[in-house]
Amino acid sequence: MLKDITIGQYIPGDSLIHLLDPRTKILGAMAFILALFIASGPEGYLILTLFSIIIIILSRIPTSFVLRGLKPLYYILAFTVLLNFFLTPGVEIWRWKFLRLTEEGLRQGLFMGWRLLLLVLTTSLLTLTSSPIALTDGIERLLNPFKTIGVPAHELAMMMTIALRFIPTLLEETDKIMKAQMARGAEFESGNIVQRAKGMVPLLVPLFISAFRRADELAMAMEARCYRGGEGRTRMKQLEMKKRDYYALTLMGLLVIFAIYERLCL
Amino acid sequence: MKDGTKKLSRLAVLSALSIILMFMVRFPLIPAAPFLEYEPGDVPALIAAFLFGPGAGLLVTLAVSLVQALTVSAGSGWIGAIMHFVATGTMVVVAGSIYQRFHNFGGALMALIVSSLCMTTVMIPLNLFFTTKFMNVPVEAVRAMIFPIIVPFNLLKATLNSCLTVVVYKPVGSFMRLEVQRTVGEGR
Repeated sequence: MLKDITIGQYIPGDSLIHLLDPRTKILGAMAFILALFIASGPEGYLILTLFSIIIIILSRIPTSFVLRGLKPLYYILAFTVLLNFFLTPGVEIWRWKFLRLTEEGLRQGLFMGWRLLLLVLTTSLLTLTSSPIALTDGIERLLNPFKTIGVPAHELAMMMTIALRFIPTLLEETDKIMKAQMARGAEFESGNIVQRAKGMVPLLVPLFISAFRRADELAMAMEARCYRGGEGRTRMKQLEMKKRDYYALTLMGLLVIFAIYERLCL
Repeated sequence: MKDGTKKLSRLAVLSALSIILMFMVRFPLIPAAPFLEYEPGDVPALIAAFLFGPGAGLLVTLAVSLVQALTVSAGSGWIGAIMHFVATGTMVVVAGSIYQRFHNFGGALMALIVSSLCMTTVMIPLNLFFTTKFMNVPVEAVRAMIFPIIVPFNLLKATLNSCLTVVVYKPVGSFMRLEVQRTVGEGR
């Protein structure tokens, strides 16, 4: 069970998409989502679909990996499409007992399904082509302007970095504690809701305490290395916006403008 | 500054625990709606709010939502992360603020009850908004689901998380105090 959990799905590479600054990629993904929700007609979707295909090819990530991102979505995708098929009022074209398929429903369902598909395929490229640490760095830099209104950008990014680093360690710890408690007769996987919740207590208490011990050790180690918050901190890998980043951002901006134009005029 | 680093690393580890619990323990609560799964990811955030105040709890929630959005494949991840942030954020901030004011067992119980109710209430418009906008499910279909499915699910989830928080907070909190005493003692 523990082996199944993969945190992050980064596939290292040196394609154009990999080389873009994480900030560019985060903003770009946001712009794409925005364009996707603004666009409403076939012309807009044609352009957005072409765009997705082009960046998937550019990223040189094997298509099977990109498609794997859809797996947890099968259910929600089917749900969305079917619900739209049968619940949209309009001209009836097919009927079986209480189910009625309408022309509008058919169009609406396919449209929504396609939108969801594009959304997931393209945004999963963000996590496929940049490491979680790079993305965390990007978020810190993007949140920096909000520091003045009290957003603790550095602390947040540091917490995310530490959390990402500690997930595997704590997973191992959880496994160990579970086995130790099972050897003492604890049950985790059976019983009704109340029993299952109760069964979690002998897992949670030692888990929290050992996690706090690790946190305190880490704090000690950080201070021994003169960590004193984000102020004046220098980095080994400095994020740098290059020419290609500005080109990419311009392109994304144009995409959003096109979507607005398509919505209003076409 | 010393406390700062310790608090930071503890909050970070609590975020990691929250993510782990979210993945490891998952089971549907209501047989009629198997897609609504219970996960105890809120427990560490609530404990953070009790130990370090509502702001710290909110920070843990934000870190967890962002990691969730960045690592678990995107798409539903983005929407899920926003929903998670608003829901858990409400619960954590309300609980943390009340417990800060009334710092005893009764206060903790009141904090958890009030925050569970707040979370359940907030989830109603949130579900109406996101489920309709994102999946284009007709508003009526979602509205029909609210009272029989969404409200009881969230109430049950919040209740379970509250119970776990009460039971876990006690030993963890006293362990922390013990640790503080020990380090202070060593310092002298």
